[in-house]
Amino acid sequence: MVSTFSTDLGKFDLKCKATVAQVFDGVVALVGESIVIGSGITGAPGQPEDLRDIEWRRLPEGELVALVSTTDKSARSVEDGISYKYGTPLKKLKSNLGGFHSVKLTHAAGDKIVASVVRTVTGTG
Amino acid sequence: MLDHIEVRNAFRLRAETVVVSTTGPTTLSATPAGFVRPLGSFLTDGFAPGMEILPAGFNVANNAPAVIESVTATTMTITGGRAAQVALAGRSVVSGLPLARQWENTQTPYLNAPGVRPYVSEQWVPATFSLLSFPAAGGDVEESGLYILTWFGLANKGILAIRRGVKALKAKFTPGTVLLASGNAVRVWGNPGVLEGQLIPLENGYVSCQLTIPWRGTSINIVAA
Repeated sequence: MVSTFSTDLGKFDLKCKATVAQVFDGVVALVGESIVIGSGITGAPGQPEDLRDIEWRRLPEGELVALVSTTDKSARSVEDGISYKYGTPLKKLKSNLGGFHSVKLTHAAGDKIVASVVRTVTGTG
Repeated sequence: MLDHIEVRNAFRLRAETVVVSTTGPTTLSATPAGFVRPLGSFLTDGFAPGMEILPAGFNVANNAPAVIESVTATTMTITGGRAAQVALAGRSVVSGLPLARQWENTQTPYLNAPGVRPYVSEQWVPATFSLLSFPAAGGDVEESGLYILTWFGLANKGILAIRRGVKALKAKFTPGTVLLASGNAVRVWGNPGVLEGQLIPLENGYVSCQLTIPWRGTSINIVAA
């Protein structure tokens, strides 16, 4: 089969798209892991025990957009360190696992997440 | 390795210097309702209901902090009012960081007067610690984390007091702002930069607004013998 520049370019395009899709899937997985379980890459402590067992959805919202979320009422309080039920700062965490601000820490380390996944996907790590 | 106590103190000190609104030195009188000015405008200076203010240049009792109930260009009505004092130049009224501050692991200030005075809380959140260069001994290490300030404003006072307070704080921590601690520079991160949260009404007469300040700092790695 004769290779032409256009067919080579098409193959390269497909390879790039496949790589981007792999990176995207990896980023979504790592974001979810960082928020729920915690991650050394982001420094997020993850959720306390009771919030690890609930459903955390990872929903695709577009070609390269996904939503990691939960509907649990206490998740927001744990995230912000504020008891929205009583209107005061949370001063106790009834769990030996996890901590506060995992979503914010994950967000703040977005570049580290992407770099880590790219290294894994491209084999450069 | 960064000294997190020193770095946290640097962030806290910067927050404490915030000025939300000020009259600057001007002519002011005290009245049973609060304060009156013949020149200038409290509104133009940025004062709003729900703000805690600190007067200066009056007698000791009138210099006590108070909370604004309502404000016009020339009058400021405060909770509890003031003993009358005739107008005099060189006085001022300033609104800054609320004086009730729940620093980490300290007594909660709202217990004394729930829903009466605004207050702030802080959280220092260290996150990552990574070696950036080799060899390990003497190499660069980068640390990252968050400094989170939560402004607890008074409910049913509108948004101006809280939003202006948080905005003034945000302006103190714009991306690239450098804070020094033990010779190490810690920078406010730019992507993402400072995140100003939404106003969330609480159950006890407060409305919270959280300011998240991401930071990163480098230092020289020392490998202990």
